[in-house]
Amino acid sequence: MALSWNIARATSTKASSASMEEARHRTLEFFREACRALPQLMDRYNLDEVITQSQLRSKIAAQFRKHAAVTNPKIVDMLVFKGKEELQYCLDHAKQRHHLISTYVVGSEGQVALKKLGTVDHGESKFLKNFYQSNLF
Amino acid sequence: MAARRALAVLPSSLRGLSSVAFHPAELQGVYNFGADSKANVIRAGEIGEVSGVPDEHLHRKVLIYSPARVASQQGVGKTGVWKISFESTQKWENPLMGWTSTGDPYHAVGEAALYFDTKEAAMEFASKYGWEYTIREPKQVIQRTKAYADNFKWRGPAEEEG
Amino acid sequence: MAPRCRRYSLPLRRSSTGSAPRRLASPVVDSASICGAGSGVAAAEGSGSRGLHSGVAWYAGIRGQLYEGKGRGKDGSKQVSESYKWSSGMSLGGVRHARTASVAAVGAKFTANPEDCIEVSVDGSNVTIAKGMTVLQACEVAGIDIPRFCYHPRLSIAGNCRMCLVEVEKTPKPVASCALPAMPGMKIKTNTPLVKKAREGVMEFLLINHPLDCPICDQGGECDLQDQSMVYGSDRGRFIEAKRGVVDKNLGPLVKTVMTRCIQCTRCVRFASEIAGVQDLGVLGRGGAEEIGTYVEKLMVSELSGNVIDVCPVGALTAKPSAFTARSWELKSTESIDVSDAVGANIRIDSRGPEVMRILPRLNEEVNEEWISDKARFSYDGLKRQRLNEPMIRNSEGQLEPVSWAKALKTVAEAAHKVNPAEMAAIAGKLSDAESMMALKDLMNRLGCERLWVEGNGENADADLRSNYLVNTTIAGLEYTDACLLVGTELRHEAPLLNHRLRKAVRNSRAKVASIGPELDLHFKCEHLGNSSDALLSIAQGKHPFAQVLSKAKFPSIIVGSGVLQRSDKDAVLAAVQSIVQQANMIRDDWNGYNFLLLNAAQAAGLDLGFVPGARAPVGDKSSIKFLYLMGADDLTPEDIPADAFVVYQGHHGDRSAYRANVILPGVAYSEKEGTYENTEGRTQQTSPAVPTVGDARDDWKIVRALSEFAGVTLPYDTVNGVRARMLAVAPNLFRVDELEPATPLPKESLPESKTKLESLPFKKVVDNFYMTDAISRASKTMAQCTAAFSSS
Repeated sequence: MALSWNIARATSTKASSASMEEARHRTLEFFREACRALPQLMDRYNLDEVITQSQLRSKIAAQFRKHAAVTNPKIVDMLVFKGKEELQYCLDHAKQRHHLISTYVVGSEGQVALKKLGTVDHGESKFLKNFYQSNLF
Repeated sequence: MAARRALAVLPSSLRGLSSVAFHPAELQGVYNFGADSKANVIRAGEIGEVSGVPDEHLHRKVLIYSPARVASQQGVGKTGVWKISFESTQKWENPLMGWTSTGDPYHAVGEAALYFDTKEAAMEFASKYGWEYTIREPKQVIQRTKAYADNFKWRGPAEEEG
Repeated sequence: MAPRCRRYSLPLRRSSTGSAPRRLASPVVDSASICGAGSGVAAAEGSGSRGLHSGVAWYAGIRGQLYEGKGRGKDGSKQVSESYKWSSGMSLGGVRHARTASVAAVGAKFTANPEDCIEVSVDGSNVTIAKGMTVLQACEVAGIDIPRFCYHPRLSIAGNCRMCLVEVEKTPKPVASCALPAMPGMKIKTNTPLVKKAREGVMEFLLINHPLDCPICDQGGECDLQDQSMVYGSDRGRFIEAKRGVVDKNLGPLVKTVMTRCIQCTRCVRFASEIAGVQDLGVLGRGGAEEIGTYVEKLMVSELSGNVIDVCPVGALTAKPSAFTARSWELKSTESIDVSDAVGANIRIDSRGPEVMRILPRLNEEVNEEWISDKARFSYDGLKRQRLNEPMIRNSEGQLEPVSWAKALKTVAEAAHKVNPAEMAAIAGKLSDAESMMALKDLMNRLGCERLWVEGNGENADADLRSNYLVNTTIAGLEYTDACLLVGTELRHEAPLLNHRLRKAVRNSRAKVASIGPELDLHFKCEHLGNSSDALLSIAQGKHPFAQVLSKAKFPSIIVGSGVLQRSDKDAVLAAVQSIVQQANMIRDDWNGYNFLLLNAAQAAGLDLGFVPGARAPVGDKSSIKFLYLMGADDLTPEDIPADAFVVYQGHHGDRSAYRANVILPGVAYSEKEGTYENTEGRTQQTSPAVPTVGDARDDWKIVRALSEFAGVTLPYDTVNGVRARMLAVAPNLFRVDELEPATPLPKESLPESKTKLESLPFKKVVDNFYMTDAISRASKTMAQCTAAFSSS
């Protein structure tokens, strides 16, 4: 019950944003909320061992920037909604430490980088790098 | 119809929400696309944007086509639908058991699920997800006039039948 | 949502379509007057909704006016409303099945004059059909699927299974709809209790002797008898006597027979005699002893024999190579293009996991109708054998050893830089797609090499005039010819589907065919005029009697085989051909009878892209080659390749040339890539990837692109769309998939000046063994069995 209550609180929305301005405002508010939650998260998941708080903050900021091109307030609302949901899951400890590490500390690019450990960059083009990896690009 | 289909494929995290203690009205603002005004029109790629699908699968190449009748049967019951097919070939035979494994999350999606009544519906769906699509038009059958009497028709002077 | 029509469910359709009369709004000239008896008004129709052949004037002349089919709309119920404008082709896409949606692939078209149309009533609603159509066809036009076993749209009507019984008002008994011509005002009923009872009776008789094999039958799951018995079959039998057993026949390594399952529909017999042209199959015995067979044991020798498997409505004839390997419902189908010859038949690749399990034909009225050759159908097992799966370099001991891609490409680039551009050459193999040929041409040109050619085109092909190397009559158009001369071609082995079209012309309109070249039974009447160029010369000079036949013919045509390209007096032969073309007036506004038949899938695209030796390239002498790039090319014998040459083999099979290679770069086969191919009539088509690549192989154009970076001449494209954009600049027609790009007819003044004299050399065979022509079919066990079984013929 407590869990669902938390999600309901975290994600409850008013009517959808009427304009892009409003959606932007909600986004910034949510970003601040996420930043405020960071010390807690660092503490609960022992993230100090793998990342600093400011690094984690910029990782999260990157998640926001990924969607910078969205112009539809409905979509922004939806993304904020999903972000809030995610944040609440983290705070509720519905996630485990490795979830956070793989998603935010290492990240999808990071996992690719790990796979390439040991290969030397000879300054090939992006095409050649993909070519060495597989035929699927 | 198409919008409903789209929602059905939204990630489970969203679909499952209704089971949590929510008042439906709370969700309406974010959940109910296309309900009130023209501002709700979903533009290209937007469903993909919110779907949580990994980046590398957001801009997949897909083929929109209408499968031909299988040559070994005469019935046309299975033809006439449109399909979205992901050019999915990331498969391999599992060395331990010999089963087929795949590295493509969309491997079975196109095969099993993405049928549409019209080409336009398929195109709309693909563009909402931001997939790059090609359309392949189906080939048409041509009816020929035939008669049983042709079997006994005189085809000109007697010659060796080819 | 209107009820969706399912097969054979009786109260089928039309809850909303009502009974609005359907009529033709726009007329189409009946072509029956010019095509011969029996061929009806059939003609090839454009793929998709485009009006086709807009550029081929003669074709429009043949077909009368062509209209764009707009028979499809969003809502089936709207299709029949008055506002719905019938197209000429009377595309029945939307109405054929009362669905909520556009019915895409179904929907038969027909062409007819409005005054040649009649109106009949099917289940209470009126339909307009062409005069001469049968009751069954009228029902099809009305959107009602009539169950049938013996009737096949591409074969003659037998009328012996009786499954298609319908009720016609004022007839005392149910009638076989497939054999009864529809008459104006006829009232046809397909869903009355009488019809159902009659069909149930027929089904009971059919099932008396049909074994209960379905669980172990390869046809199970896609069997007409199985499906129809779900509707018309009883849940119990009344037959208590012993079922009959029939001895299985041996039809060779391709067709497996289980003759006890046969229901004597005689489709295979009609296929053999009407399409394949072998008169071997027949019906023996009568009544309960009736069976299909060859009387004396004999193999069915035809390049199209695999099609009897599709034609058979039950599991009596199934594919031997894929027997007991897969069930139809576990297969994933990918619609693709065949590359085993230059016809480019449309196929469907059925795969399970990473394996190709079978290949079936796919409808395309303009190319292959619904047939494919045995090589196209059965050589797929070669895709699993002899594959190259990692880059390799020949080491100092002469052994090939696996290396990384980077090392292999580096080695190739270094070797290329060591030699003079004039000593380099590149050959594209017969299965190469247009993208990889484009990339290879760009790479070699950037390295300074101009000596490139496609296998089959050879070094002295002429890519200047497109109409000089295409089948200008078009494949479907060849059906209309009434006199045809074959020059240096064994049509049956070089392009079985084209041979079939010509055979249709002979059967339907008694076309006269003569052949100069290697003698081969083409399975139709063909006068053999000898195998030397003397006969050609005497026709060109008008002395030969066949010259009169050609000049009297209304639609004369000539087919020149690509073996002519290998002759030293190629120009003289082509000049003689040109003078025959002119004398017989083969190139007119309404007809183009000059055809050059290509042999391999890669040839047409290669010529369009200019994959031919440049002006400064040395020709002929291969001993000067120091660096040879083979992209799947296997036709050169080791003797042709100088001992000190550095040979790069890029390809998917460890075929002949791989043994000579210094470096091997593994590429992909046609079933694994999206490649553009152009067929021999100039139609651009694309394959689709059906199965994953093998091992560490890469797409061919990517290999060339990667190599270009190592060679320091990086090609300016990184994606397949980039390559296609480059192709668009070189040969725009290769960008328009599924479209036929007709060549501008040759201007009469541009007769090639013959520099050489016609020598009286015999025309050589270009296909030694039909079953093994390329790397895939050479690796195929099935094709090896065919070679062994049919080599005597």
